[in-house]
Formats: sequence, structure tokens, C-alpha cells
Amino acid sequence: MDKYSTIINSEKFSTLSLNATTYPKSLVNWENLLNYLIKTASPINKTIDGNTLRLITSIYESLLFNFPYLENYHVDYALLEYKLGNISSFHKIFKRALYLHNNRSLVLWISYLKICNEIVIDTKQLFKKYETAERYIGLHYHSGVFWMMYLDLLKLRCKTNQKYFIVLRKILEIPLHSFSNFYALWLSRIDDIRDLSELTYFIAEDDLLKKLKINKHYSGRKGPYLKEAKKAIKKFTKELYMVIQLHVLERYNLFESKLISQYYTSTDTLYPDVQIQTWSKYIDYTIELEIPDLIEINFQRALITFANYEFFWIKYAKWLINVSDNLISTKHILIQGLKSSTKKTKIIKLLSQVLISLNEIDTLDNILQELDNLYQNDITLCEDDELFWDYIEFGIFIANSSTKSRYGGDMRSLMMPQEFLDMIQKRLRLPDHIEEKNKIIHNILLLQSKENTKIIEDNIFKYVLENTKDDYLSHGQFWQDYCHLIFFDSNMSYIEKRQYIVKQIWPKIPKNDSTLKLTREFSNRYLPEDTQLLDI
Amino acid sequence: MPKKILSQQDALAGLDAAFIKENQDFVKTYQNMNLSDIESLNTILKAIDLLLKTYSKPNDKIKNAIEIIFKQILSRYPLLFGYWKKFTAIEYQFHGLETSLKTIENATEAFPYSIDLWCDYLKVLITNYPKESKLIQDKINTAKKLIGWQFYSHPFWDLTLDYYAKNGIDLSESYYQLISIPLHQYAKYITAFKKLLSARKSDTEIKKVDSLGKQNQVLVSQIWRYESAIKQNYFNLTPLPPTEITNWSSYIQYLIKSHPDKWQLIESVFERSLIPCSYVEGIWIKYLQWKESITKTSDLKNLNSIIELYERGCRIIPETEHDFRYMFLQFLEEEYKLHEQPGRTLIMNAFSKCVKNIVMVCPYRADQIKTMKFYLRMLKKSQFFSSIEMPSKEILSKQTAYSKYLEISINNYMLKKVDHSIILEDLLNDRNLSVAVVELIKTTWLILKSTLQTRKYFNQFSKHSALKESTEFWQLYYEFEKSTKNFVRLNSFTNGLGTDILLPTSFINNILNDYKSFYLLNSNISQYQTSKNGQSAARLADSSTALDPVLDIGFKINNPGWSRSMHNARKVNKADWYKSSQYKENGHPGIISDRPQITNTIIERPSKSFKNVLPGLPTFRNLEKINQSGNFRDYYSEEVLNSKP
Repeated sequence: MDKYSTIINSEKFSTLSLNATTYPKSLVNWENLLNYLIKTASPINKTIDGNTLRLITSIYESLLFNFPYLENYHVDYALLEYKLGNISSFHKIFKRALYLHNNRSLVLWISYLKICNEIVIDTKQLFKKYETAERYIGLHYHSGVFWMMYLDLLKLRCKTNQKYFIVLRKILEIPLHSFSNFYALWLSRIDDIRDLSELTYFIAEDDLLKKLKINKHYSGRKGPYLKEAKKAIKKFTKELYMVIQLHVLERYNLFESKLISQYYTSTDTLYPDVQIQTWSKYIDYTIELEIPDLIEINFQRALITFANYEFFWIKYAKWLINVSDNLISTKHILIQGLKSSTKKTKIIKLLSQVLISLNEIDTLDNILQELDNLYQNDITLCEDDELFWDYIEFGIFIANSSTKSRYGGDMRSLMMPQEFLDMIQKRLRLPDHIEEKNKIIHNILLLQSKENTKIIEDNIFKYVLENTKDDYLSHGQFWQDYCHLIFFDSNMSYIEKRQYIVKQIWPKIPKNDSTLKLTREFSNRYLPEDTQLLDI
Repeated sequence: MPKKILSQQDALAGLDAAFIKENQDFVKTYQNMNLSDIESLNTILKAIDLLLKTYSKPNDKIKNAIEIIFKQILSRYPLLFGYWKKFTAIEYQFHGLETSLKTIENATEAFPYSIDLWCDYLKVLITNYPKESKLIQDKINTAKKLIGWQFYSHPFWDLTLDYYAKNGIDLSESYYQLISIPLHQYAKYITAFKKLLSARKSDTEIKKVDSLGKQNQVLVSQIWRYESAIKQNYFNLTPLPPTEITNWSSYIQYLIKSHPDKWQLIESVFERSLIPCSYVEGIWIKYLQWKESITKTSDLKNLNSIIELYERGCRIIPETEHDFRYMFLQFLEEEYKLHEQPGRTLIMNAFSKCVKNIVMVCPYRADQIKTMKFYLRMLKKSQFFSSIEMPSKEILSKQTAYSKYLEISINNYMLKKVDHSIILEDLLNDRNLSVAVVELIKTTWLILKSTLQTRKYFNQFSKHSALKESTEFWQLYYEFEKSTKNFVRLNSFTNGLGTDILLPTSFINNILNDYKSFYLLNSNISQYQTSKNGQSAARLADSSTALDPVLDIGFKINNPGWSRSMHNARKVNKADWYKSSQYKENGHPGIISDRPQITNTIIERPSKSFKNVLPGLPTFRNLEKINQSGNFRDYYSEEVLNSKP
């Protein structure tokens, strides 16, 4: 029997794989399965048989499908392919992983570039990768590692020193956790200067002459002159150091030192609220600094750590809308959030609004369909009443919008498509849920138009009167809204409205403190003459 | 003399210039008199004493000045019995017995629940006018009703029994009454009564007295729990400790619950409690609740007495409290429907008086509004009443008349041609005008159903400054535009909230949330996109842009000043951004630090963009402040403690 058959026929494999497929959102099952496979299949090298390899890669794929933000598994997976010599898969895996992280993952970039250093022969191509990385993660608080690699590469692959010093000079200004390393480099380089001509690596000739009064072509005794020149350069370095140190310490003391996690784990990990608060304050702080790349990298860091929480998805989306006015990115972020966040209500709501704003009504329709599917094609089963009502609201908006509607019937006479009405009625039949029912009925009043008062009354108010099975009717809000509906019917005359309310509705009210209080409130406001009739 | 004028009068106006010059201390004390500070009042009393020592025979001008000072104090605080006593003594010194008797008699009227004052009065009467036995007995009977049930009323009873005994009036009736009243000195009267009875040798009566006495003893020991806890039973200007108020409350509660039949006792305890607690609204409310519960108001006399009691409370309770006054209005509103004429006239008069009073004195806007609502409701129910059974023509004519009446009053008010004989016009002020306007528009729109006129009103009134801040007015406007589904107007209305129309944030939030739902339910994508494209065109032309009712509106919740252009404006000022307190306090709100900065930072430049040219030397801002610690701004002291009113 070959290795592949041994594995798939083993009892352990079937238990582990069954666990993983039954509970795909539980990380530990996937990890157990993967560990078992790798252990059994090792040594993994080019001699591995195709079936086993396919099994392992498919497990990686499934794991990463369920947990797209596990950076280290992406790296593991890519390294596996690298080990086996599948360079194109290696690149593909990293590129996909970076895409999933909006290109803003420090871990992924560093692991990727380390290997690239060895396998990418074309210097230009390699630098291009570094330049991309610089754009996305260059301002990351911990990106010192990346910058070190960049400097090493420059030293190794460039013919001149020029570029090296320019990059180093830039790094000096970035508040990095390991900022002092770069200052040490810079200072030791200054010490290494042997000739006046080297000064222009550090400072442009123009500045040197005009601001520091140092002439590169000084013709006198050069030894002491060079010493003075070094002093002058060190002086501005020192000032720069002090400023950057202050900025680094501020970030570290206020925020970075308080962050307990930088990575995605799984839904099983719960974070104390204070962590969310700290991140949120950190981001607010960053926003005030007005450096867009820094804002985005910090958002991304928070997003990955708290991918299961809606908070940062929403915050990021709102920032994108509000500040950068970038609805396409907003949509992109919200869709990612929708996949990861365990709470979805607010994300769906904001996403729907963005889609309407982008005029992507079909996408919105699809999302609502998906939402319905999520509840076995019966959204009325959903426990989140806010989500339910959002579904109805956006659904009605779509129905209003489409000329060739998939919703049958004449809209005007129905006030809303029959299927929504059915859902609402079903929801209104549920026992208890007083608050929610009040809210639905109150919102229904918003639909009132010149033509549909009777329809609303029949389909909602009378429907509730006939079908309520709990004590809902002994709560006042329903009655207040009922009176309101009639009194705001523009097709009835004042006398008709008054007669109808006092003689038709009021006698049906079960008298208790709640109903009397709210009906009296209504009456005092609109029919003060009749308030006394309520007490009879 | 009317009270208000009295309090503004200068008591020293009639004095000679020479006198004023010689008595600067006295004059200064009077001029510095602070009616809300008891120390200040005591000082003036001492100054008067001193003055009278110097002028043992003061002339009429001095006498007059002193009298005015006393009247000023006592008309404001009739419960200061010590002042009454002093005043009486001084009046005796000035004008003799007759006037001082009158003064003490006035005292018993102004402060009718004071044992002290009554005893003084009766003593003077009995000693000096023994022949006026009818008057004396009448006064004794009045006092009995007012103070006879008070726990410490034995001095009064002693005085009475003594008078009766000396004038040959049978005591047994009084004794019978006495021994069922829970008095501090109850035992002494039982003994005295028994002594009297045993002299008459009536054993059965002695037994009866014994058993009554025992009952009373039980009652006394029950209420002693509360009586013993009373530390301050007199009126003072300094606030009463809360424990005192709690004690009175539980005392009263206990009596109402356990001895509901002893209404004289309950009433007497209420009246006693209202001496130290006269500013405590809660006790007044309890008093009137109890009083209403035991009174049949169908009898006009009873109704009147309750109204009088309410009015007494309204006069005394501080104007910052309102529950009692609303309770009164509520009571009158309830009573109105139970009565015919002339009860209704009585009720309406009291109602208007109370409403006027609240409108005049009440400092809070919310109370102004609520009171006006009360009044308009009552007005509609009385003057413009239309029963549902009336013919529809008549109903409508009443409604029309009502709206006309409102319109005329509002217009007169706005044109400053107020006719004070019309109560509504008299009541209107800038803070409650919105209620009348809302009522007028509501009637026009929902009852008379004239959309055109309604819009006219909205246009007319929205310009008035008093309505700009009225939530009721804008709520109605919003409802109205919703009913017409006029999205252009609705968009511009929600857009203006928080910027042009300044209303409370919670109110704006409610409207925005409601409108968000309303828009989705009633609009559609093409309408939305059309208006949005129109907006972007407008945005290019004009910086003040309308809100997008689907997406933007959410940003305005809890942040009414939000607008799309806000952030752009900030970007324009980026150069000066470091000067803003928001930047200086970033990361540490409340601590301002001018942290050093690199002004020509290159961190946002990709390294490729340098093209092998070195960047310039870094330049700095605030480098000299690098060792400065952050500056803590103490907002609390700045804005609360040291703020200028």
C-alpha cells in the first residue's frame, strides 16, 4: 500500500477529517488534521507522491478558505510549495495572501521578500517588489525588519551607495520601534567618512554649502575641516533623533505597549473590551496625524486582529466614506467584513447603503437573497429584529426601484409586495417580542400615503387584532399607532376620522394603565374634547 | 398695600436727613438687607433694638419706618413667629394696647397654625378685654380647630380650661374632647378630668374616661416614634435636613394608613409639617392627595376650599418646582367635566389664574410649553367644545372658530398688539408661542384640512425666531412634508438640521433615523440617483451641499454639524492643522503639548521618487519645546468654577 492509501484508510484520518468538515469554523480541528497529515507524510520532499501532496494542499486551501487571515498558514503553505520547487505556486500563494490582506501584512511581505531575495534574479523586478512593500507597510510601527532587509539588498545589489543613503535617510524620519538601529547605522557611516567628497552621501551638496557652510572642495587642510563637518552632520542627526524618539515613545507609551495581540487567531479568542478601546483610540490618534498610509496600515492591523468583530470594519468603512470619499474601497472592505465578522447586522446595513449610493442595486438584491438563504429561505426566523427590518426596508426600496420587478402585483394597491407583507404578518404573529412588534407597526406608518390607509388598516392593524395570540393588545403603543393611522388619513373628513376613532377603535381597547395612558396621550393631542369618553 | 409694591418700597424714604446722617449704621444695615438670608434679617432686628434704645421716644417718622421694615419681612415670611412677637411688642411701645392687639390678631391670621401666637393673642384678649366674652369664645373655638390637635398644644388647652373654669363654663365637654387627642401632656388632663368627675361622684364616667385614656395612651406612644424624631418644628430660611422631611413623610403615611378616621389629627400633622417644610413640594402633594381623597367636590364649598388650599401651595412652593402646580391643573381639568355652571366658572377662573402664574414665574422652557398645552386643551374643551354627537356642521364651526381665535391671538402677539383681557394673548410669550402656533397649524391641516393654508402658515412662522428652536414646530413640519412625500423639501430640511435649524441632538437623531427609514420605504433608486447627481453638480458650484439621504445621513446622527465639506475644509487648512487644540491634545485629551515636528518630512515619499537625489536637511518646528512637559488644561475650573454668569 502506498502512503496515500495508508493515510486515507487510517481511522485517525477519517475521524480528524470528519471533525474538520463537520465544524469547519473550528480552527483546532483543521490544525489537528493538518499536523497529522504532515507528520504522516513526512519527510516531505520532491519524492512525495502526487495524491498525498494534493491532499495536503487541499487541506491548506480549505483551512485558508475558512480562515483567510491566518498569515502564518499562508506562509507555511507557500513554503511547502517552495520546498517542492513549485515556484509559480509559491508566488501565487503569496500574492493571493497579500491580496486578502489588502497588501498590508508585514509578516507576509517579510516572509515573501526573504525568499524572493534568493530566487528573483532580475534586480529591477526584485526592487519593484520592495517598492510595493514600502508603499503598503513602510510606515508600520514594526517595519524595522523590512527596512533592514531593504538596506541589505541595496548594499548587495546596487553599484553605487547613493540609493542606500537616500533610503536610510528616509528611514531616520519614520517613527519605528527599532528606530535607534538605523541611527546607529547612520552614525557609524558618518564615522567611516574618509574624504570630504563622501559628505554628499549624507547631505546634498547645495545644503552642505549653504546651510552648513561646508565646502566639499575645500582646499585647505582637510583633516580638521572634515572633523568639523562630521560634527555638523551629527548635530542635525541628533535633533532628528530627539524628535523621532519623542514620537516613538508617544506611540509606544500610549498605545503600542498596550496591544496584547497583533495577529488573527480565531473566533474562540475573545478580547477584553479595553483592547478594542485602545485600538480605536490609536486609530483616532493616527487619523489626526493625517498620514493616509499610516492610517490605512493601522486600520488593517486592527482589522486582522479583530476580524471577528464588526467594530473595526465599520470604523474603517466610515473613514473611507467620510474622509477619502472612496466608495469602491468601502464596498470592498465591507464585503470582507461581512465574511469575517460574527455580527453582521450593521455591516449589512452600511454595505446596502453604499451599494445604493454606487447604484449597484443588483448586488444589493443578491446580498439580500443570500441573507434570506442564510435563514433557510425564511428571514422571519432570524432572531435579530434589526436585521429583519433592514431586510424589509432595503427589499422594499429594491421593489420600488425595479420596473420589471420580480415581485408581482400592483405596488400602489398593496403598499408593499405581497411576500414582504407575508413576512411582516408572520413576524407580528410571534408571541411576545412586544418591542419589536411595536417598532414594526410604528415603521409601517411611514408607508402611509393618500391611497393606502385602508390597506394598511386591514393588513396590519385588523390582522393583528384577529391573529394575536398573546397579550400584545393590552399594550398601549399599538392603539396609539392605530388612532394615529386613522387620524392622518387624508381621504377621510375630520368628522369621519373622529367618529371612527371614538366609536370604532376605542371600544375595542382593553382598558388598563398602559393602553389608557397612551390613548389618552393621543386624545389630548388630537381630540381633547373626547378624552373623557375614554374613561367610560 | 399690595405685597409687591410693599417689598419694593424704601422704608427710610420718609426719614429726616439729619436722622439718616446720624444713624448711618442703621441705614446701611437696612440697605444691605437680604431677604433670603436669615442672618441679615436678624441683624436688622438688632439694629432696630439699638435704635430704639437711643430713641426711647421715637417720632412718627421713625415709627413708620420701623413698621414698614417689619411688614416687609413678615409679608414675605409670615411663618417667622418670633418676628411677629417682636413686632407686637414694638407696636405696644409705639401706639399702645389697641394697635398691638390688632397686630397680634393679624399674626394669627397670617400664621394660623402657631400655638405661640394664639396663646399670646388670647392672653391679651382675656386679660385686657374680659368683658368681650363672645369674642373670646369665638376666638377660642377658631383656635381649637386650627391648633387644638397639635401635639404640643397644652399651653393653649391650659389657657382655655382656665378661662372656662373662671367663667363658669362646663369643662366636661372640653375634657372629653381633650382626652382623645394625642397630646404630649395627655396624662395630666386625664388626671384632672378624673378629679373633676370624682368630685361629682360619677363612677361610670370615670370608667369611660379610663378606657378612653388608655386608647389615647396607645396612640400617643405610637406617634411618639415620629414626634421624638422632630428636631426642628419651626420655620427657617436655611434648608431642612433631609432626615426631618423623611420623618414627617413617614409620620403622615403612618397616620393615613393606620388612623384614617382621625382626619383632624392628620390635617393637624400636615399643617404642622408645612411649617418647617413649607417649601417641600412632596409634602404639599401628599396633603392635597389626601385632601382630595376625603372631600366630596360636588359641593361647591368643598371644591372652593380645595382650590384655596391648592392656591396657598402654589404661592409658597418655589417656582423651580412644578409637579404640584400640574397636579392642580390636572385636578381642575378633571373637575371641569364633572361640574355644571357655576362650578365651571369657579374652576376656569382658578385654572387661568394658575396658568398665568406658572407662565409668569416658571423659569423652565419645558414647563412653559407644558402649561400652554394644558391651557389650550382646557380652552378647547370649554370655550370651543364640540361633542361628537353634535351635527357635523356645528362641530366644524366650533373648530373653525377655535382656529380663528388662535390665529388672532398669535398675530396680535407677533404684532405686539396684545389685548391683556384675552387670556390667551396675555399668556403668550416667546417660549410658549410655539405651542399655540403648532395647535393652529395642526387644526388647519388635520381638522380643517386646508393644505394650502397649512403651507402658508409654515412659511410665515418658520421665519419667527421663537419658532426656530421649537422641536414641536419642526416635528409637525416634518410630519407634514412626509405626508406630502416631498423629498426635495424633506432633504433640504434634514440637511439644515444642526446647521440652520438648531435643535437638541437627540431630537435631530430621532428625525434622521425616522427619515432614513421613510426614504427607503418610499423612494427608489432612480429618484435617488437623480437627486444625487443633481447634488454633485451643485457641489461643484456651491460648497454647502445637500445630504445624501441614504448614506450621509448616518454620519449626522450624534454629530449634527457634520457635513461633507467639513473634512475638505480641514484639508485646506492642513498647513495650520498643528495649531489646533485637536492636534495638540491628540492621544491625550486635556493635555496640550506642542510636540516637535519635522516640517518637511519625507516619510510619505516613496524612495523611488527621490531619483537618486538626496532630500534636503530636515527642518523642525517646536524643537525648543522638546523638554517641556504637557500643559494640563483644567476645563472644570475654567468653565465651571471660574465662569462668569
